Amino acid sequence: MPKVVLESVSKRFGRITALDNTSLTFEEGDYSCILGPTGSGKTTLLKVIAGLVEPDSGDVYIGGRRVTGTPPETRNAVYMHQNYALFPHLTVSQNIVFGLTARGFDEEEARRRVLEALEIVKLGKWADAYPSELSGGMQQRVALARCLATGARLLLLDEPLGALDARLRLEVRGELARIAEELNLTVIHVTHDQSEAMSLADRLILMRSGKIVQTGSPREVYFKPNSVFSAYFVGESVFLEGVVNKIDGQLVSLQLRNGLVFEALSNDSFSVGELAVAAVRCEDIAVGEGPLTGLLKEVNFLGSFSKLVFELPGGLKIPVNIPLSRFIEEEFRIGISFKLSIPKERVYLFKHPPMGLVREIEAV
Amino acid sequence: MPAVAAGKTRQFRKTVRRLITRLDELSERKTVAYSLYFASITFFLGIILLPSLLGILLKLDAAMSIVSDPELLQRSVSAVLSSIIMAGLVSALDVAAGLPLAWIITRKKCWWMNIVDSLVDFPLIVPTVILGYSTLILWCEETPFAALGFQGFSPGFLTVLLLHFSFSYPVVVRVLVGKLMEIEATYEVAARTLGACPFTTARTITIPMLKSGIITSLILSFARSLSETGATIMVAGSFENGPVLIKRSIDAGLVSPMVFVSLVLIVFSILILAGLKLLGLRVRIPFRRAYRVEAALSSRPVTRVRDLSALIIFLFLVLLPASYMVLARIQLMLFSSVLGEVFLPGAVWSSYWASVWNSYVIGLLATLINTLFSLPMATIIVRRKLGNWFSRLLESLSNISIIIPSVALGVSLSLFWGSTGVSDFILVLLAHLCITYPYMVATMVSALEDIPVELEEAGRTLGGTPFAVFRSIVLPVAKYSFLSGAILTFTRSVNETGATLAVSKTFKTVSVLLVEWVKSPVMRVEAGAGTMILMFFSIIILIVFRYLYTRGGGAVA
Repeated sequence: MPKVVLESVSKRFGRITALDNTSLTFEEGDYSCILGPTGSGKTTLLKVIAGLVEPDSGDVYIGGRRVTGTPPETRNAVYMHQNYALFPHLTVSQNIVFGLTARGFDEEEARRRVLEALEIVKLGKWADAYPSELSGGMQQRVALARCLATGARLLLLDEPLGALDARLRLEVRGELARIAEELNLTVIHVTHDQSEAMSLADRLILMRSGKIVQTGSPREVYFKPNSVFSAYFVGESVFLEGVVNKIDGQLVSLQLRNGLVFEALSNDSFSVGELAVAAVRCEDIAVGEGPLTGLLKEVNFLGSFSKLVFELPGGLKIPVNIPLSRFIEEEFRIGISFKLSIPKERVYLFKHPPMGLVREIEAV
Repeated sequence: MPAVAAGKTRQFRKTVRRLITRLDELSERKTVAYSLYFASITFFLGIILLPSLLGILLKLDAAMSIVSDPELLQRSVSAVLSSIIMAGLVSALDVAAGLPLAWIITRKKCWWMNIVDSLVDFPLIVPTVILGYSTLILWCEETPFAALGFQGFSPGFLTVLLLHFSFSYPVVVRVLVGKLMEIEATYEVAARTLGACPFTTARTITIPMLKSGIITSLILSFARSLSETGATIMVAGSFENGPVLIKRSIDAGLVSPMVFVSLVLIVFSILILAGLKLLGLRVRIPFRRAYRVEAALSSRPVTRVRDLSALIIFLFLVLLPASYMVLARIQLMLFSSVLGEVFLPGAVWSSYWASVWNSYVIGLLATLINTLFSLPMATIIVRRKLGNWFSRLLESLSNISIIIPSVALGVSLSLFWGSTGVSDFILVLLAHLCITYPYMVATMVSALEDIPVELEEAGRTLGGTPFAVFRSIVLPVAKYSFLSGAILTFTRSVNETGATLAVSKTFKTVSVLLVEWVKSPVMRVEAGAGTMILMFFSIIILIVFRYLYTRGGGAVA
């Protein structure tokens, strides 16, 4: 029932376009993560669904019902703020009861649901505490319980883990996934943290400047980025600009500014002489053999993997991620040259962005 | 019997609950919300703004006629200039003297600071006209410093300055204390550990953060000084500013200076206040270096002198004038039978109690009506309900009635409503609505601004209708601020004199009655006693206010 459909929704705030003719469908029971940099319109999208922001044009449907223009309390879609917005003058249980009274549950049913919700988030002992007496993680769980207790099947989470420290974030992330799964909720989760999005999402929606850049499962987006921005924002890639100098079926060879030539497989059509950008995942570059030679300039040990920075002839620097199992400390010494290879099936080749590479990945 | 009573209570509760549910449902309709906004804007335009201005605007030809009378024109122009100079001087002195006191109140932790903090509000509860009379006898007629060879000033520029200083000072300190409390000590600690001495810290960190508070205090004291009439005229002597000229010319049967001066003052003050608001926020205090002299200024002897002089200024220029009316009469009171007669039936004191009753009825009604209508207004302003531009416009317009000289406001109102034949009671009520409205809106606006919009959004998406969210979230969170705003409004109404005198001949509030007593040579002791009683009541109100204020501060934090 809580399938959410947006039909060409646009919203401007003064000179800023927050949503630019956006159409999207969120399937029932899906956990969708909207990923994008700050100011990409993610929160506006969420607020449009919640009814907190009215779109300038376009329509919103929840469960097949057109809800454009209806007040938020009638939409049965609970919105959770980044800073939780717990009511400071009410206790934990009173906070949770609010949504139930508002929806007209009788006292007994409300009490039962409060206990149930507190049970789910494991905060049964804290029912009579005030929000200010709770830690950040507990407040986050109260906010979640407050949403769950209403029985709403559609949860709109705005950076729900943003205010937690790194450890707690992992813990609550797991909790969130479990609850959503158990209660079969439709969740739309806004975040700018790619690992959060990758681990939680059934479906990833990548946004930029009020536009949807790519949608798909985390794997699809990771392995088949459809644009330079996609490759930049999901995963870690190195970008190489060059000119196409030979095309042989799907095999395209690219000549970089320093004269270096390498090959990539691409389904897109390129023509010789055209500018193009190649994106390579930092973990896809193989060290030890291959046609390229790189001088090791930096070694960053990061635990489960290490980041090595090589300098190619002509001054081009490429970072390479190496898993712990292949990292031999004595071998990787700064100042030594290594053979490098970029497997052609793991190179993503894109048309050169009209505004330039830097603008494309940095501009919001 | 109890069973019947219990049944009735239950019945009553049921009705209330049904009513609330009904209101909840109603508030869901957009039309209801918009009719509420429409009603509050209509109230503002029709009851507050238009009558305050239209009475003046209707006589525009009179203002034109003044141009043909060079003598009167010159007198009016110089009165306007005097007003602006006085207001500028007073607001600057207020901030200069009020900042150190606000600083000690917020940054020094000792038990007697609480007492000073409470005493700051004291002049607010004294009717301004009484404060004027008090200033007159303190500095001119019955100065207690005669023994020191001080002969007293003659009424004039200086006495007006002293008067305006003492009634606007509390407002400035109150605003600055509030803002200083909001600025977290962590910034100052950070600056100190980074190597800045206290003076440099204050100059480069705290005062720039305090800027909006300073601008607000400047605006409030400026407007208050510009519009005050009743007390000013008592100590004016040969000095003549806008309100004094207006009052004098009205008494002489001339309306044209009122129209001219009011209009020019309104235009000027709007320009000055808008300029302060716009430019003030852009002014940056440059931080080029820490001067060596600043370390010396932070030394203990210097800060001691600063604190001591702040306290002395407060004591002698604010607290003493506010209480001198009673202090000077206390001996006479004790040695006469006046205090014994207060509660006995008699023409004098029964008229006093009647006027107290009048004041409190008017005060309560004004507070109630203004609360009802300014709440939707504050919502429009804070939540930008009708667009950014329009909300800002409404906010600025809502302040106009505090700039208009109170006598001019009174005259304007009686011109506007006079032809409709409404009673004096209604006229006084309308005048008090106009005068207290800006204070009410301003308090509500700042209270609503303190409530994060997320709380309301969370309430709505959890299923609460607008009215449900209002009564169970906004109201409980902001109730102390709302209450303190209501008490401020009430006190202001009880102490109002200038406009009340101008609109009503028969209906007397206690401030008006006390002014009559003060002016009559045979009622001097009664005037002292009457003021004392009124102050006693006001102190109780003030204590409640303080309690709510601190509770409010605690609840929000």
